[in-house]
Amino acid sequence: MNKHSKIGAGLLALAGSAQALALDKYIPTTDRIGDPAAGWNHLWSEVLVDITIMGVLFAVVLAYLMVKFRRRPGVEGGGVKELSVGAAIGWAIIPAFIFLADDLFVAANGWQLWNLQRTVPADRLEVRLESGMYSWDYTYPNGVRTQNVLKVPAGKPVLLRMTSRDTIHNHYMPDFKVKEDSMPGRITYLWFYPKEPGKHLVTCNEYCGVSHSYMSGQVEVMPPEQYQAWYEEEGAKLKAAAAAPAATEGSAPAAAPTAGAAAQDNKKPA
Amino acid sequence: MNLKEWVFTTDHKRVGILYLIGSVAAFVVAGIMALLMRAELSAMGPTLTANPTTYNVWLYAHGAVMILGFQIPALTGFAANYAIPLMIGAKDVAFPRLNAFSVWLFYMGVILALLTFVIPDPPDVLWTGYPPYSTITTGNTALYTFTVLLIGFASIIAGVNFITTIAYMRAKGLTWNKLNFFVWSILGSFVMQLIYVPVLGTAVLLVSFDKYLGTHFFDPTMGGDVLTYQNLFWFYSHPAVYVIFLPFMGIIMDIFATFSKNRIFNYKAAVYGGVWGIVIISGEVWIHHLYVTGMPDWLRIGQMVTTLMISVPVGLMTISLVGTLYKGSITFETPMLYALGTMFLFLVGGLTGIPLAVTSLTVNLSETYYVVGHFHYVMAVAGSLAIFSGVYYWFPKMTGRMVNETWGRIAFVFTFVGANVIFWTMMNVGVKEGLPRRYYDWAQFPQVAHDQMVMTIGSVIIGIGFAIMLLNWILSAAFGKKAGDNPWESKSLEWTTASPPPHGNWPKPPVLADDWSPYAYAKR
Amino acid sequence: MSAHAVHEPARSVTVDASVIQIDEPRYLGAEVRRDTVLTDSDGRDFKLGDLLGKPVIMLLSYYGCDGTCPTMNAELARVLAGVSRFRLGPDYRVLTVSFDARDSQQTAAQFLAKAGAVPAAMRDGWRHAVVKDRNVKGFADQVGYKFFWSDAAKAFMHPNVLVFLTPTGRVARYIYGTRMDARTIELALIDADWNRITETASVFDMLTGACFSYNYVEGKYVPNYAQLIGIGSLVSGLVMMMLGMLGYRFRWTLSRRGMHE
Repeated sequence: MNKHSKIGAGLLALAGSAQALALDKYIPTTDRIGDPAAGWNHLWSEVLVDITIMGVLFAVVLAYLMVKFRRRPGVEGGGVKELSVGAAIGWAIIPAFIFLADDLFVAANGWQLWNLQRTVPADRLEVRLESGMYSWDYTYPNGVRTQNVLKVPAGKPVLLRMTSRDTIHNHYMPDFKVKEDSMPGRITYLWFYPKEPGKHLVTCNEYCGVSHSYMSGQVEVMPPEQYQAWYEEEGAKLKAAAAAPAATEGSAPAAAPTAGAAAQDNKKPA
Repeated sequence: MNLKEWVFTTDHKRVGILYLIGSVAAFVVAGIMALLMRAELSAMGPTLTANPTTYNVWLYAHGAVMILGFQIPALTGFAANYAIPLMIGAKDVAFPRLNAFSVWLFYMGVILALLTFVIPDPPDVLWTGYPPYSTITTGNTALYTFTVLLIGFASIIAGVNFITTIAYMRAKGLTWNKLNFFVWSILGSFVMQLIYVPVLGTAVLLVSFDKYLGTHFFDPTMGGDVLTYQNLFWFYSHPAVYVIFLPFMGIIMDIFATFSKNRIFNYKAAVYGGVWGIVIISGEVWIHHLYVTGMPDWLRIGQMVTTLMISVPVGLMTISLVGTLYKGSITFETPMLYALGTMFLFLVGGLTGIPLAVTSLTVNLSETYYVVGHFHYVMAVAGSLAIFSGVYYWFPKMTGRMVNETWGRIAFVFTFVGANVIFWTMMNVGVKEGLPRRYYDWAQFPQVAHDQMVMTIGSVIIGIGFAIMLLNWILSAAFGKKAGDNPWESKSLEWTTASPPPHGNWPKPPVLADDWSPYAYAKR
Repeated sequence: MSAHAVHEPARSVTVDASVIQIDEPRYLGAEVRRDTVLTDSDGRDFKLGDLLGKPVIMLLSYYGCDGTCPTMNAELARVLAGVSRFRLGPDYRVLTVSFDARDSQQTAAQFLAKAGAVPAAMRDGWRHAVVKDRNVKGFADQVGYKFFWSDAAKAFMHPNVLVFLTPTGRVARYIYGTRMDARTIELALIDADWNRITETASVFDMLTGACFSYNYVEGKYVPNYAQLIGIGSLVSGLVMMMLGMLGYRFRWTLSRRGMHE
């Protein structure tokens, strides 16, 4: 984390100190969880301004030159001499540095947001996702399973640990501005921060087969108490079901919740 | 005209025209696929076909045929074959028979691609053919593999041929720094093709091995890795974007110079910084196609920086283009209109690529309509308009006749307007709603109904534009008014011979004066 | 198969291997609890989280065992002596934990004395421990490890497996069997710490990691053939380009005058 910020800051020094402000906005603090979706919106608008300025500049210059230097009777035109060596080098080096500075400015900001997107807060709900043609299968820490509906409490970051049983899928939540592939043989993860109760679309974002466009689901963000009640009720049902067909071995629920991990987990799981 | 003479020709000009005919045919077929898809998407739910697989086959055919059958062959096949020997004052390419062989391979590839519409189990693996889907689908992955292999092989042969041609067959007095910019761009393209095509061939071949021979190259349970395919595929296929991009820059650069009657602004920066900068960086940016696949974080960040750095060579070439107009004497015939159109479309397409280079922004944008809009701006419309501007430009040389200007302009207006209507809307929908691409149906996104209709209308407009253009070419080739040897008053070498040039191009090989340059418009 | 009966080879007892098979897709990537308190053979208490920060090879055994558990420990010690790329202790750690609730610090110490195969030099980075609150089932469940007592065999039925944990305490890889080799251990350690790029040497580790991939069916690392072939074709592309030019140049110098007439 710190190392990244340092390098980021180093790159930034090249791009000019005025932009240093932008870099600090995404640093997540321990007591306040950064919201990647908000960070995305911010960076997007920033980059949009950047490319709009460049685009308009080039387009205006182009249009001006087209009109100004169109062939007119009686006006000499064309046949401009080659640039002198100094001018040629200047016209190569200076624009190159301007583009490079802009690139590094954008890259530094992008990196900062990336760190937030990949740094999962310690206090979180971890749900396992197995995708398949064509459904999303979620397993909660207490063993409760749901299909195509991911119920989560408001105000708590959610980590999805993902794999796939057949082709490559992609768990995309447009409202949370995040997606990541799930595929057989590898484990990937993403996290998002549902703040308010509500319903959000989940849709498959990687071509996975004939019914790709119909592979959708829902994130249902519930008030925390309501979620807790649902979670415990489902957990109890599961226990009862497990106990019913005699006490056989190995059907106990999986690991207990992982909340309260001692250190911040900023690496990917696999 | 004798058909046999054409089929068995070794003349680079005829090979070039064969490439043009084949790639334009591929363009028409793939374009019809696009119109079918737009019709399907115009309303929610099934409209044209009730079977998503049919749609997926159109999707496959559109992507694969446009890239492999149209853009790459039109630029590195048609434009290179027709113009390179003329531009460097050679009587033909270095290996004329090999050249003929490559055009045959290309035709076989196109025919194989068109078999998609004949066989009962057409491929539905997109032009990317990602496993595991491509190894478990009931579609015919082998057809995809062999199409890629044939056209790839044609490309390798052409690469060997053109690199040697450019390196050793220049006319006396034509030094490296006097080459047309287009020649440089083709050289850069073929260097990339030669280096990277074998990697693509390997990847697609191994997929078919996995599917038909039961190997486990990409089978994750047996020690394979599904991401290895994506890495190999994009290791070629991102450079492939530049294989298309460089010659299209080359064409419009030469057109800008000719129609501004001006030298190329800062030629050396555009060549050594632009072309070779791109060739060098091209192999280090493929991860931006894998930003959301779970590649290691450091790799995704590292290649974000290299991807953004592509803006430096591209920027240098753009400055050269813009600077060429400065103090020029600009006329706006159809080739120049298309070239200027390319320039504006590329401006939009290129700049909207910057957010996609940023890993953290792509986490939302990847695989949405935004991406589709972006690369259609760059490749589909800027690229195609550049190709067509080249066809318009060399049309008098090829046929000895002029294209009808009025209809040329009308076609341009339709194309330019239609392109913006579709692809601007597309990017907008992608960012605002996150509508994913490759969807047969957008039932989950009822809010995009209006935009989908607008895009479909745009596709009709652009379709009309292209149809007028093609008709105009055919009619002008037959009935157009006679063109002289040099209707655009260009200084470039290809305009010093007759239109159309005789076999061997010049009665005597041209010898160039010391102060000759393809851009020597300065009055002495 | 991956699971063996302990004592003698499985002939005496028929066990359905699937009963103790680890459900890999479910547990790969699972996170272990950092606050679990363990007691090692010297009687020291420590938290599992204290051990993390580096890749950890976890071996579940029981100390009353006289079958495969000592064998596994001895084999691991033998193989780790051959792992030269990483150092036990500074680069990674090993943890043997008992899944028998009856085990204690004393039995751990006895086991260690009896097994004897773990050299003193390795003891710094390798701990033999028991779960302090004796909730062994809960502990083993975290990584999907199943076992049960067989009255017939008078022993535990359990899989022989090394569990590789990432520095953050997630399951990266299961390596099965009583026969091990140093290369597999090295590759699995690279897998467990894949995201590392801060040290220069790790670049080579990542390259090695990229050249091999794990075969789930056979339970071992195999070369990533597709990738190697891909790199091979890239090299062939480069060579082809150079040969084409050199070859033509050679021909051209021989018949220089022929080209332009």
